[in-house]
Formats: sequence, C-alpha cells, structure tokens
Amino acid sequence: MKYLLSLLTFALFAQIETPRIGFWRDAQSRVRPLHGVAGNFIPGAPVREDVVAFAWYGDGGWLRSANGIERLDASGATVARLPDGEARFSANSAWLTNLNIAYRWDGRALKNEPVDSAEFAVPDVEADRIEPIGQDWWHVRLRGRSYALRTTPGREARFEIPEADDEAR
Amino acid sequence: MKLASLLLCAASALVGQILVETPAGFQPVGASVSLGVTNPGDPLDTRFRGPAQANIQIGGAGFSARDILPNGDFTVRFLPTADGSYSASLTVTGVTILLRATALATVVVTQAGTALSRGSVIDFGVVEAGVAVEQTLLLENRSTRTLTVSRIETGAKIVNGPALPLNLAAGRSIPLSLQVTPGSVGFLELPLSIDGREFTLRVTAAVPRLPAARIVTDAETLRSGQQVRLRIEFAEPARVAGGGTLELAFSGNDPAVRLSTGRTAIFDLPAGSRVARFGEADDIMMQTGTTSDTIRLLVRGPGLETAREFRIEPQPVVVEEAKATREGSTIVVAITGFDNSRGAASMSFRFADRAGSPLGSPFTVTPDNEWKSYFQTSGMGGVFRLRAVFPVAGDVSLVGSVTSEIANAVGRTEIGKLTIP
Repeated sequence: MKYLLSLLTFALFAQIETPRIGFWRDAQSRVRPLHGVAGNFIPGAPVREDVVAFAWYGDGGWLRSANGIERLDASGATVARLPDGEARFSANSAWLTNLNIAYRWDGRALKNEPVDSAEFAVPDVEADRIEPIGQDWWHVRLRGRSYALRTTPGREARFEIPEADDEAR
Repeated sequence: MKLASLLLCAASALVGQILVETPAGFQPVGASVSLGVTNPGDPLDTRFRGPAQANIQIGGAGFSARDILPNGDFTVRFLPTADGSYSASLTVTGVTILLRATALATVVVTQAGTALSRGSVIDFGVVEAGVAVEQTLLLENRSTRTLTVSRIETGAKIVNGPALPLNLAAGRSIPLSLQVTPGSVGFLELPLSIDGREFTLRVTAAVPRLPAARIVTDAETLRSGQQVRLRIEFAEPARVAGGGTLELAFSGNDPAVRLSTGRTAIFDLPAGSRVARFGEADDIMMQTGTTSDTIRLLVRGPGLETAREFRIEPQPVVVEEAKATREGSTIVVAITGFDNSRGAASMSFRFADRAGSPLGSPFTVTPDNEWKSYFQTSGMGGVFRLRAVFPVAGDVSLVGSVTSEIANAVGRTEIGKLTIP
C-alpha cells in the first residue's frame, strides 16, 4: 500500500456554507453578491455603489468607478489601481481602449503588455450590457431585465435574476 | 289736489327706490318691468333691490319672491306651467309696480314622469367604467298646438330618437333614449341640448370589476429549484383598463421563493386584453426556491380574488455542481446543491486510483449536527455548498477519482465519479 487515506472524518464537514454564484452590478449600478444556485438566486445587499463597469471571475475581478479602475482580489479587496477610462476586462487583464494599452495582473502587480483583443471576447448573445459575474457566469442586461447566463459547456442556460430590493441581505 | 300731488310725488320717489338688475347694473324701475321670455317649466330669475328691510309681496300666478336679503335685495322667479303672457303685481313697502313675462310653448323633457327644467342634471347613476348605461327621456307636448323640435345635440349616443324636424301634435309624446359609456373612473358629464334648452347628462363610473381569472404556469407540477413563468389569464377581455396585484405567500423560510419583483407584483390589464401585463411582459418569473412547503399565489383586483396553491414536495438532494481537486496532501470534494427537506443525512465517498481500482472501503458519514446547524442559521432555504477535505497519508497524486452519493429522508442521490485532475 503506497498511500493511505485518513479516517479523520470530522474534518470533512468543517465547511458547509451558502453557495454564491458571484458578484454582479445591478440596474442601480451597485455591486451585490448573488447567492444560491442556478435558477434560485438570492441577491445580497450591495457592497459597492456608483460602479460604472464591473467584472468578476470567481477569484478576482475589476471594478470601474469615478475613482478609477481597481483590481480586486478573491475577497473583493482592492490590490491595484489604474486611472479612469473606457476599459474592457478579462480574468487577469484590463484593456484601456482609448489608450490601447493592456495591463495584466500577475498576482503581485499590474504589468503593461500587448493587447490581445481575443482575450476580451464576451459571449455572442443579445444584450444591452454583459459582464462576467463568476466562473462560467455572465450578467446580461436586456430590455430592462437582468439575466444570469451560464456558459459551462454542455450546461448552457439562461435564468432571470430577481432584482427587487426587498430581498437585500 | 295738492295732497294728491304730494302723494304722487311720494309714490314716484319710492318707485325710484326699486331697482332692477340689468347688464348695465341695477337701474330704477318704471311702473312696469318686463322680465323676459322663458318656457313652461324653466324658471326665469330677476334680481331687484328695494329699501332695506322692505316688505315684499307678489300677486300673480307663476311669480314668486325668494332670496330676500336685509339690505333690500331680492329675486323674482317666474316659473310658468304653460305657455302664454303673464303679469303680476310687485309691492315693495307699499309701492306697487307691474311685472310682465312671457312663456313660449316648447316640448317638455321628462325623466321618470318628472318634468325637467332647463339646466337640470339628468343622472344616469353609477356604473362600472366601460359599461354602457341608458336612460329614456320623454319629449312631451303639453300645449294645445303642434310643436316642432328642430335640433337635438348631445355628447351621448342616441339609441332611440325621433327623426328631425319633429312635429309633435298637442298632447303627444315621443321617447328619446340616450346611452353613455364612461371610459374611465370618476364623473362624466355630457351636454344635451334640445332646441337650445340645455341639460347635463351625468354618470358616475366606478372601478370596473375584473373578469374571472386563473393563474397559469408553464409547468403544471412544480419542484424546487425551478424558475417558472406565471401568467394571469382572464375569462373575458377587459372592458376598460384595470389592474391588481399578484401576491406570493410561502410558509417556509426561503428568500429564494419569490417573484422577480419580490413577494408582490403589480399588474395592469389593458382594455380589451385577457392577459395581465407585468410591465412590458405578459408573464412574470417565479422561483420555487429550495424548501419543501406550499407556495400560495393570490390575485387581487376590484371584485376579484383568485388563489392557486403549489405544493413543493420533498425530494432527494439535488447536486448542482461537484468537483474533486488535490490541494497539497489533501483531496477536496466540493459539492453545491440543495436539499429541500433540509435534512441531508448520510454521505459516502469511494476513492479509486488512477486505474480505477478501489482504494479501501467507502467512507460513510452521517454529519447530522453539521447539517442541522447550517440549515438553522443560513436563512437561505435548502441551498448549500459543502467542502469535504480528506487528508491523505502517502502519495496523493495516485488518487484518481472519487465516487460519492448523498442521501436524505426521501432518497439517495448519486453524485457519480469525479475525476481528480
């Protein structure tokens, strides 16, 4: 027997928690957690307001406000900043489109790099606005409604995100 | 002779103290005053002004004094019952003048046997907005000669009326049926003019009762974990625009059980439509949540209350996503899903090596306390994310997969084989 599996089963259940799809920017430009599972969403209380653009990838993201562009870590804390401007985002890069400059987050700092527009592609769906809200999840704003689009291969689906404030928590 | 002259002068002086209201203001009257022309049944009011505290008397059929004020102002009303020339004496503090007036014959408009004077309000009563209401008036010739009606103008619909011009013989009558359909809630007043005699048609429109309704879903049987579309369909098209509310009641504790707008949604029912509108859409999303219980939907509106209940039955645990990974010297199994019975019990994990050969016996655990504690405090219904950590003694890279299942009181759910990358 080259290996053994521990029988310390008490360690198995140390973590049962509320599932979270990710974070999204609602119609009032507030960033809110989206709890629950596919088709059973529970929008959480806003954590940031007056957000101009937002992208969340599960383990980090980007946020644009009047104060500029922020790189967020997995906990949502700001770890780096860029000056404000039109931008597109990918999991690790921000493309300042007016300047045509891209910055990549290498885990410690933002570094200038050539622009690869393919990296910033978004799903080809009808949308007034589309932003990533988690791994394989996108927020689609269309005709006044919000949808969560799951893009996991083979499990693609679209759900409506309920938006009323009465469920904020 | 001297005395007579003095008395005449005194009388003339008093006559000069009686004034009549004209377009140019109050003017002194002479020995007689013409009040003008009206029709039988139509009052003709004329304002006079005499000395303060004057004693006023009128003698003559069809004439009366009213609105007598201490300052000497008073009104003479001429209300003839038939056509002809009329006169009366008006005595103010001992001074008498002659009043004259004329009543021209015209058709009498009656409502339920009562003659209507010019300017009368003809009340059609209270109806629901959008509902037509009818009144039949009678045009009567109470004079002794034939009368002609040349013109009938109204904002109402004439559903039954005479051809014009109408020559109505003495003593004859003819019906005039009018229909009014108020388009919105509130008072509606429309004019009616018969040869220049004007009346007001009034109808009070109440909030219309909604037709019978039913709540329709795109899935007849609902289960946890669904988003369904709800429609409210009405038995007949709405006569006028209306609206109401759709309310959701859920006895369980699960914030995911809701409509897209929360637990209440406001709907409109456009005129002519049989389907409620929620904003721009004719349906609304409902989440069934992740807790077994009963969802009750209630449609409320004017004259309407319709409910529908959906029982969400307990079901085996639903696994939305499961993943096994290596993290250092541990294997981590992450399972996301929901247990709508909120009583998940046993779990089992069976590990295999990269060739698929079992590694020992399956682990079976029953973490009752952990589940109970989580569901009691999460306040999020039956959703959960479980992260199971298995410390491995030995070469963890040789562990190739884990097959697991999770059970609650309803049944077992196989999660299947999770390959560890």
